[in-house]
Amino acid sequence: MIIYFDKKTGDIVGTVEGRIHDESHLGMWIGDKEQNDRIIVQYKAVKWYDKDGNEVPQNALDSEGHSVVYAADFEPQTEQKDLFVELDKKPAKIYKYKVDPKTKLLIAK
Amino acid sequence: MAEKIVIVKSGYNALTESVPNNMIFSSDYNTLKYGTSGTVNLNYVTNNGIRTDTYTVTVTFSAGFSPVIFAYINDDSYFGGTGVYLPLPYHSQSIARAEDFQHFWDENVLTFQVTVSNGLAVGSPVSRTAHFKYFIFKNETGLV
Repeated sequence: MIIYFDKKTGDIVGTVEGRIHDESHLGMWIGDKEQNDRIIVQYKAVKWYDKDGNEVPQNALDSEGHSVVYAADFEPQTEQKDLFVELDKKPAKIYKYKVDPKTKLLIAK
Repeated sequence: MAEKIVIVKSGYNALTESVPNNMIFSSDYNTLKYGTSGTVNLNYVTNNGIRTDTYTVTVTFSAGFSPVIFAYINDDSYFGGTGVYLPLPYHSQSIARAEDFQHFWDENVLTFQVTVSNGLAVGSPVSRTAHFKYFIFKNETGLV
């Protein structure tokens, strides 16, 4: 999720949803560019699994040198991990929070 | 027979089905290709005297083409509580004022706009927040 907020007040003005943000998302902006700032929270793979559901290393290969990684678990890369997991399920709840402009962490209104 | 990719709903035969409504996907038909989605808040004021005020907020996306966009409005002070969204544009009319919620865009910027036309000076100014939800697709409208 990318969260755009007023630099002075911390009020959230808008969001771009999603777990992994590519260049097209990162090139977006909401509101006034001088007035607002943003927080970018990307998800990253932290566990990898083969097709049978067994956990394997990220670079696990079979006997022919092919990757056996079939799926992965992803987590948000932020110290507010649990909060962003909840926001990923219910994005509209973001407006119950504002951003502390100094720490750039979410705080409840 | 030309080769194609067809994914049908449960209970249908992918080799013989011909009704698009019974398909999840068919390479015979174009589909909406999801690009991005998000939310935007826009603060505005009503009961601000006999006048018309316009409020805007922009989402810069720089697609390089005019995309298909869907947008919705939720204003919990009007629409029965959070979680109730209506498609844009939306017009709200009362004896005291009219409020128009709309969106428009080009190849680079999506603009949300609230226009408040107060016909009567009733009470004190009231601050409100319009909550918008948007979906930007990779499909081009072909209008630009």
